[in-house]
Amino acid sequence: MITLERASRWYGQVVALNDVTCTVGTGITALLGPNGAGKSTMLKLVTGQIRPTTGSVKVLNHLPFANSAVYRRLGYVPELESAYEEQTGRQFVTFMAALAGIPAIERSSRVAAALEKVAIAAAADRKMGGYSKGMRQRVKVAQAIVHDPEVLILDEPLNGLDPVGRRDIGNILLELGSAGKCIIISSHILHEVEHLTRNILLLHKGRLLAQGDIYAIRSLIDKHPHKVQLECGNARQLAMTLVGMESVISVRMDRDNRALVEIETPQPDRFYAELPGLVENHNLEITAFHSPDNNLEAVFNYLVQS
Amino acid sequence: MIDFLLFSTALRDLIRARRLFWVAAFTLLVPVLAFIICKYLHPSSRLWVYDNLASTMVFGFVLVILAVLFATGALTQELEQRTIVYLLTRPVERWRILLARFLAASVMATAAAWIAIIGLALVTVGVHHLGEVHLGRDLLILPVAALAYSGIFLFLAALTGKALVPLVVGLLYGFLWESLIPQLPGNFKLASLMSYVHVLAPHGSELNSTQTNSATGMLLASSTTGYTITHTVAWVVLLSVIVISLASSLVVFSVREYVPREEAG
Repeated sequence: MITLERASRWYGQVVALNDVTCTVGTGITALLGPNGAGKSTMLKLVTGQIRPTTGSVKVLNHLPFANSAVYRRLGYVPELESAYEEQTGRQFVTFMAALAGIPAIERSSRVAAALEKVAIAAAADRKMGGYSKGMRQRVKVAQAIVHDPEVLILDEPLNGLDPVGRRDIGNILLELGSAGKCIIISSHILHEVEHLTRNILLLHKGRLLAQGDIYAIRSLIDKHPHKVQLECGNARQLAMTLVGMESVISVRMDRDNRALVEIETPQPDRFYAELPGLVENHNLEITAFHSPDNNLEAVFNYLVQS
Repeated sequence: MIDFLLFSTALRDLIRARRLFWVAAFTLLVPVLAFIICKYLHPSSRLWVYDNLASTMVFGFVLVILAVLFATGALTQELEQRTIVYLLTRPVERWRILLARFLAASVMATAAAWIAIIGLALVTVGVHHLGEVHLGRDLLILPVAALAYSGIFLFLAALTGKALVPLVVGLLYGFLWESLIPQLPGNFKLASLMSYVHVLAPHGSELNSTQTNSATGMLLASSTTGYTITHTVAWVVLLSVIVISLASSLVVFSVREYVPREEAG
């Protein structure tokens, strides 16, 4: 649905996005990277606010810049907090719905449904100037989904939301993603989007460092062995047993948590296959099992450091 | 329907408390000034007061400053508060967005100038002698002048994409260029929009010159040796300025990027 082909964008002497090639299909894709990585620039290219300096960007097979055909099928939640302070949330979403071409006869019901969906209906008739950051985020999401777009672009939408708000917006995105919408959600806080998707685009200093399934990406990083943490009542016995495994290259016991053993393995698949038999043979009882490397934070750190 | 919605929203955006204060101040300044002047002059001078204040204050000051405020604000307000992104990512052609905002700005500038000149007429000649001044003609020419000035200032705003630059340039143009250029000898007056406006709405000495010459009376000082602006030329120039400046603004707005550089990241 979205294709970037060697897309670069310069602001004067500053390169904000550098030779990025990628394709984004249906479902949720997380666009990750630290501040200044080029996420917002990439989303501005996709939403047709700016043009690439070189290369091309296509959305639904169209060039998006100032293209009404694209905007009819696209919803956008910008990062900015600014709003029409004098308007109420309902007036704002109604205005956006009208501009999106929703007929007057069904506009109010569609607006009410969108406001209800983001759980802001109770405050919808208050002026936006008095909204909290979280309330603004909800209204921004409402205006983006009111016309039921096929493509939904969200720039840091979880910023400023409380845990309940994050859960609510997350659930909406999960629902839309499973309904076959193409959703890109940007974030510099990795754990924010971790529960939403395994599919990532990782930007750093304007370059696309990685794209695809988070676990697949992790398994490709051979320089950094996977860490696995196990908790066991008899941790010392477990550690001795793990040392004997060929797929394990280091074993470490935790100084503070005496029940915890952490190993490193360059062959995680082999380790995971051998572990159940080993545990059974030595009659060990593992109470907890965790792989800190299989999260976005770890993958991101590995990629950026390398 | 969408065009009307864009227009009414733009109109509402332009009527902000802070801006309304200045608009009211500029608009009421003229009748207040007229009231003070009339208090110290003989009643027979009231026509003279109307003509002079209409020419210098309403056409030469209030109209120009309101056109600068409203026309630049029509675009830069969205840019400043960064809400333009919502408009630009909706399936509405960009030129329609700007056209609606241009019309809203022109309507506001015209309405305020109308209030100023009606107030001036009421204060100077009173409700029973309105026929003694050319109020009807002034009310007709004010929107034409508002459209022309708004077109120029909107173009500046569309071109720069910034709030302060078109405001400063607009004020310099409105008060420096438009005041000095018509005073220069020869054909310099042709470069001033106000020269053409004054031909269509002459006041005082301009009016006498128009009546006796059946051409323009806006030939100040030694400019009598230069080209004489006729009514036809004045209409053609003003309408051309409106069409060209507006068309240029719409084209620029349709192809230009309006994203602050600092938002890159």
